[in-house]
Amino acid sequence: MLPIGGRKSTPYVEVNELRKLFPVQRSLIAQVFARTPAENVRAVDGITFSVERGDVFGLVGESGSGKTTTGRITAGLIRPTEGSVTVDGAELFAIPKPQLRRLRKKMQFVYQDPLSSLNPKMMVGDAVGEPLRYLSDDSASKRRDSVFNLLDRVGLSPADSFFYRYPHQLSGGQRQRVVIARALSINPEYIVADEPVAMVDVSVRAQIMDLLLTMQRELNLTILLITHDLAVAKYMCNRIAVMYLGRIMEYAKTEDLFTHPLHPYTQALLAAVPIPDPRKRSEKKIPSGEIPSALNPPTGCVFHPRCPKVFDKCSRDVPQLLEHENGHYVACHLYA
Amino acid sequence: MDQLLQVESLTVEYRTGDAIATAVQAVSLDLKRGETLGLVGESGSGKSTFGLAVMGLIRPPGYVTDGKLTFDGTDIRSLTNEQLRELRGKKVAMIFQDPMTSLNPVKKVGDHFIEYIRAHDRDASEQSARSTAKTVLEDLGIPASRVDDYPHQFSGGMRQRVMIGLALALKPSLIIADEPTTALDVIVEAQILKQLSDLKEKYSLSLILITHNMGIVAEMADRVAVMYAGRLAEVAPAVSIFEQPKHPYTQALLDSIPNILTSDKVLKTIPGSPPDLTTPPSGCPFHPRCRYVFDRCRKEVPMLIETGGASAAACFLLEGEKARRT
Repeated sequence: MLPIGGRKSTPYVEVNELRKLFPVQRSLIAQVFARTPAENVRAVDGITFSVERGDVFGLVGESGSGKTTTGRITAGLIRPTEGSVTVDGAELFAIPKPQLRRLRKKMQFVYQDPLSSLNPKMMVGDAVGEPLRYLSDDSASKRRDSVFNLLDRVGLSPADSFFYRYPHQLSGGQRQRVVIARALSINPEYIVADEPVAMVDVSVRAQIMDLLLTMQRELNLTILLITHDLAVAKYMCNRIAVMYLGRIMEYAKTEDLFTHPLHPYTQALLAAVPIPDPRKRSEKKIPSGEIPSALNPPTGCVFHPRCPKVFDKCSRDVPQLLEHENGHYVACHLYA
Repeated sequence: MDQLLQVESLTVEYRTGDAIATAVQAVSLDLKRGETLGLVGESGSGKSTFGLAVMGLIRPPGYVTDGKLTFDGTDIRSLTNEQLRELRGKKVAMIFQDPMTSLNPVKKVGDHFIEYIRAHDRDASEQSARSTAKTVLEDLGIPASRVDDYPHQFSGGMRQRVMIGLALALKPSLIIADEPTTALDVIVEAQILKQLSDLKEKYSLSLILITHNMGIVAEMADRVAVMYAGRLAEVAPAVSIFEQPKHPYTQALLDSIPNILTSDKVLKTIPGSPPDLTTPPSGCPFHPRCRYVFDRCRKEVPMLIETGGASAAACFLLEGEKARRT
């Protein structure tokens, strides 16, 4: 197993050789007459990483990179095809149900779109208190007190003015605060946040990012942050794994990744980010083409058809994710 | 460079039920020939409505209630529907955010061109429209042979290129691009933006680029207009906006966005959120969130004040600055 992440402290989440294939729906006619084997989308294709307790770990990639699928598996929402996920020492997909139920209390998911993850007919207070109803033994009045506390905590104060409101009466940023309060209600240890600021107004994004970071510090949460936005990942994460077509291409401490990106894909991603400084306009070296289909990924290194530094080995052999420098891993034949 | 577009005191309202939302309020903006204007704002700032108004595309429940729009000497508001149809496509064209919902899935890419070209130019033959389609696709790096493919056979980036191609088909002098890359991944976004600026030269276009992304504005725009809650907060050359922002909203916005090049960890958050346009705040719309707010901001609406160097901002703080300079 690759010793990704910290070596001394025990990791909170360990993902080992994780693979997730989604079968492609074929029409009945195709199933009966076409003797072709069933096709699979290789959403996640053998990745290994671990997240230390209390860390903010970023999974960065474009759409179709497998980052959300990975996040959903580590939160126990879907089963992997192969590989294992260990959360707080317990193997997520091998433990008996009662134990899994206890483990679930420690894990929460924050989705991208707060409006569609809140029931429009449920008042804010009820929405935030709902996980407690199912997962705690607290009395109704105790749950109510917890909800008031939570609302204050996530900046929805005075809490009694928000408790009785409906989602449509809130701004986008306030809704995302409700979603975060709900995720925190059962005192989780691990939060998977999938693009938590992508649908929030630009002037409100910093508030939400800071709220997540404050909660992380105060409650010593372990956060897996899924984002396509490198600037958001840089601001929030201590470590980042860059994914492309279901594989991890590079993994490093945030600072190392941004000052010294090794993988040609990471370099391309960073070059493509528009910089808010008109004096930094320059001729960019942008790879051509787009992310290929995960139905039929390229042979060898999945990035080789677009890579500016491609050589013969790249189309043949799959590069392993290897440590290049202290704690900086890259899956590229250039460094092997 | 002479003026291509002059917008004076444009006001657009949306009337729904008993509520009136003023999406654009007394906005005046000019665009020179060959210029790229970045129109920046959050959702609800009125930036898209501004673009639609220039196209003459405000439909009930939306109404242009005030203002004058002059495009290349023509008063847009005085045009008949027939004349507007001529203006759109041939003079001004628009690119929208989501290419998948803008393209008809059961229609070949080439047929989109034929339909679009003949809708705005009755004299165009099918053959000539088809050959225009091929030329434009080639210009965008798409092989002409793909003119008979359906949109679903194209990748997301290629579909957005088709949208740009449609906008270019009748050789307009102004393109309004409303969040043209927001639905795309970052590498494809960079490819499309590069292509857009190359084609701008080739087709000698002017461009209004509507976006919420300050990075894109910095990469593309000559001049930047910042909108907030339906009003123009600031307008200035791109370098001035980023280096000497005058309006507290522009300053706060720039302080609150993370940048991959800078290493300082602290972002300054802006309290609160953009207002509901049916019940806008009194006075300056930004006053509830402004760190410099004083009494007058709650009562009066600040007018745009020239701050030198072709810059202007709508903030009372600048009155003192102006008095000192003169």
